[in-house]
Amino acid sequence: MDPVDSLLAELVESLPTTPAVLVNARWDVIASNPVARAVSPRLAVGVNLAEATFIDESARRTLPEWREVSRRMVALLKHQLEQTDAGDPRVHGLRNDLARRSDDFSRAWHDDDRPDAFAVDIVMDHPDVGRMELGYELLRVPGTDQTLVLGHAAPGSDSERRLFELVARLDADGT
Amino acid sequence: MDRPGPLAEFLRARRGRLTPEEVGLPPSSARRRVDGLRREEVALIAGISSDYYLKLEQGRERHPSSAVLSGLARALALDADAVAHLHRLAHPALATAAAASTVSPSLVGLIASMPSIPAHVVDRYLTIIYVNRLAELLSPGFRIGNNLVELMFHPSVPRDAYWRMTARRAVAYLRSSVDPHDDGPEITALLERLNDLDAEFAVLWARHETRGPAGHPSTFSHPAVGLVELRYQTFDLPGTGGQSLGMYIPAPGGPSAEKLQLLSLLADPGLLADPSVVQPSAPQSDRVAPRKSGDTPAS
Repeated sequence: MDPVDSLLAELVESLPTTPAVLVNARWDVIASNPVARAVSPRLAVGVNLAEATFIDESARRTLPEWREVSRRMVALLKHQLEQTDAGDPRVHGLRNDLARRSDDFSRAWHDDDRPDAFAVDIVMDHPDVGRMELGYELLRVPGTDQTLVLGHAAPGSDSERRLFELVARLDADGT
Repeated sequence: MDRPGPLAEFLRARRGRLTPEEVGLPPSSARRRVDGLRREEVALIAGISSDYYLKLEQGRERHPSSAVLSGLARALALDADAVAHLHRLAHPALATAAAASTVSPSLVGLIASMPSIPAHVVDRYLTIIYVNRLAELLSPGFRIGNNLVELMFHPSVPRDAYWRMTARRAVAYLRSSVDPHDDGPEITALLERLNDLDAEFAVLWARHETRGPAGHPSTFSHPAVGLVELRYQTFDLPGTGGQSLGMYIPAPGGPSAEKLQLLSLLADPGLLADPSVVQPSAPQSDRVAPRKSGDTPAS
């Protein structure tokens, strides 16, 4: 299983305006905060983000640059496999599963992409607040195969304003 | 003759610190000539010949198999951090990417979006290459160009019980951050400066301990707000040649969290009007309380 360190869990929860998602080597969400879940319901514990990208049709609808996002997802999984000599068997299992279920995934896997940067910009159309472009930084948790993904918007941008609008709604809901 | 290499140095240091009892051997009645285990004892528990173990300690064999490494880990009673380090030692030195001395603009953007958390970015030698305003306010040592371990060994830091604990951790943190095969000018100069600062550094460095600083308590004494107790969490930044992001995290809702808020207001009174700062009286303040993750069902 994927134990979540208590300090990390506190950090994720306490970030007031930062979408925060902790994933394991397979990109299963193992912790996320309310801001992240307000940005996308897919950023919830138990969701596999590779599966959500390739299998869930709504990803293609809400991500105008879906192809780019999906390529980056595959590149990150490949990078994960290269971290150990044999590769994480759970990641191999995920790859086989997705290759069977998604032609797009198989094609993307055969392209020889490697992540050229460990930050990802994702444009999305949010049903409530509209288009947001968020940058996500990938932070490796030392001594584990976990990655903390933290999102941010350019200061003063429309995206930042919309992100804060989501945060304000959360606060109003008291959730 | 060449230096015996980092693996040999590590094995000698760790063998010298063990007692037979620690690895399940009967205490020896005869007086031992040396501290620590004998080479033969380590070889026996590791399941390798004494000759082969001698070669390892002399640096004549530098890349033992994983099976041998597992045996050595058992024989030297290594914890998980030390086992990971042992594997790094036994792998051929990689041509390490040049350490970038600048921080990616998007990471700077992220840090800027979290003004309520003191944060800095360090290179693989633990020298600060980026620091945010709140961290600067928290400690006068948190400035670009300062090294975290040098700050620890600075003569102005009182050598109390807290120091002894944190200094040892800082040295183990440096060991785990630098490439063990790195003998370039930067690490050489840093080690020389540390040796000059305090003879105790060499003693701790020779322990060959490695440990990341995950969650280590970090206490700051600030003239305006008093003692601030935080925990230090680092994150490795892939693709940067060994940079890491460090954040100082308060217990949610505790006095240190409040003191940090005070400090961030001192940092920039304009933040009072900034929605990204959680204010004590605002309705959202309950959101900083720890809560079980995943309480929103997946949809």
